[in-house]
Formats: sequence, C-alpha cells, structure tokens
Amino acid sequence: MKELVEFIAKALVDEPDQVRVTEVEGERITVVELRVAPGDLGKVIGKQGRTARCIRTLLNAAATKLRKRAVLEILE
Amino acid sequence: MMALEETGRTADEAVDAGLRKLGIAREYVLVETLATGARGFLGLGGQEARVRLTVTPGGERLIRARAILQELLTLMSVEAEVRVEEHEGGVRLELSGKDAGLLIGKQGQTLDAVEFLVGRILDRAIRDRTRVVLDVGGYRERRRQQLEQMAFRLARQVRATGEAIVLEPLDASERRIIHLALQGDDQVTTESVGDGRGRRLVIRPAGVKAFHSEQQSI
Repeated sequence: MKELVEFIAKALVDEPDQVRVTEVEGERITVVELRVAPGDLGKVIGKQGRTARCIRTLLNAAATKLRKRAVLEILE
Repeated sequence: MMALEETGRTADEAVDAGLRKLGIAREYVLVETLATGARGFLGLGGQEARVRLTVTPGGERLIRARAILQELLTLMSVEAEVRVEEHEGGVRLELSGKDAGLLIGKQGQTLDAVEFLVGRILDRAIRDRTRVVLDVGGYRERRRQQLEQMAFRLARQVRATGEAIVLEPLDASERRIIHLALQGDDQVTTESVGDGRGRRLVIRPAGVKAFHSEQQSI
C-alpha cells in the first residue's frame, strides 16, 4: 500500500525525491502518511481535491484486497 | 526515442517478435532491416535476420500508458491483462482477467479513479494532454446505455408534466452522454448548472425560460 501511494505521488510531483511515505499500522486500520515538497502539495491534491480522492479510492481498493482498512493522510 | 533490436529466421519473423514484446501494432514502428538473414545448408552457415524497430511518438504514448496502468495494478495486487489502442485521438485501455471486475468498484468509482490517475501520470510523462479511457469487460458501454435509457425516461416525464428535472450529480463524461442523448429531442433542453462535484444536469421543457423553471423545480 505504501508503494502504491509512493509510485503515484512520485509520478505526479516536480520533486520526486522529496516524497516520503510512511505506513503506521494500527490494530484495525493502517494510516498511510504522505509528505511532499511544499510546492508539490497541489499536485497530489488536485483541483477540488480530485487527485487526492482518486489516490484514496485506489488505496481503499488495494487495502480491501488485503482484507485491511487504510486511510491516506497528506501532511503539510 | 524508444527502439528495440530483434532477431529471427526471417526479417518478418523478427519484426513480429519485436512487436509482441512491445505490445503494439505494426503501424507504430519504423522498421530498419540490419541483416536480411540467409538460409544455411543443412542447418549450417545460416545467418539470422536482424531488425531495428523504432517506436513512433504515438506508439510510445500507448506503451507508456499501458506501463503506468500495469504498475498501478501490480501495486494494487490486481491480476489483469491490459490491451491498449488509439481511440478518438486518445488512448483506450481495456482490462481483462480474473481480477478485472474488482477494479470497477462502487458505481465505477475505482475504474474512474484509476483512469484519472493514469491520465494524469501519462500527461506528465509525455508532457502532453491525452484523453485516457479505461474499460473493463464493456462496463463503460453498458453504463452509457443505462444513462441513455434514464435520459429518455426523464425526458418523457418532463414532456408529460411540463416541469424541469434536476439530476443527481454526475461526472462530466456522464453528463456529456445525457446531453448528447437528448440533443435531438426538440421538446426538452438540457443544461448543466452548479460547480465542481455538485454540478448537476437539468432537463427542462423546451421554450421555458431557465429562470422560470428553476423556480418550479425548487
């Protein structure tokens, strides 16, 4: 799941080497935290949050396949 | 530019092998024959044919689109085959295989999300805007037919009651299907109102001023 978010984020931003993704595994839920360069925030969020919403949808699909639940947090 | 060298018994066989590796049709490559190949005697002294395939920019776009989708599928642990072709100036990707159905999601939500992200990533990779369509087992076509049926049904209702109908929010490509379905109906007009995700399609009786019927529908 971490790799999925990392691949998408790196492919969208201007500074891919500033992309950091960490996975915090809880008992019921996994939190995937995404950090990007400040100037790239808009690229992973998108117009009216569309890009972020699509990344979340893919993350949910991937998590469901693993019988898990995951949430994406984009950190500023 | 993407290029590949391939060998075979004849030049044609070498070209075919190269195209299979690239996964694209003959029209997307320029072929250079580096060695024509010669038949030996009793299997001795023969020489293999050698060709160089250079992928055209159109072909490169197809290869990249498929590679991006395949990477996303792998990372989502989804097993599916990807076919790619040019479609109305853009790229059409078709998924099949055991997990393909899983990728549709609630009301096509997952499919839409994958389609959007492949498009975004492709735009950045080739620095050009490309319309990307992603389909699984004819899902898009079935959805189009459903929306058309709904459009005709609602148009009948508008004609019968003389009152405008405001639809649930739909995305741009879905609204487009409804606008197109009803453009030949001179008794109703269609219009999209509102912004962003809340943008809704309105079907009105023809000839009724927008302002007037807006009040009616509230």
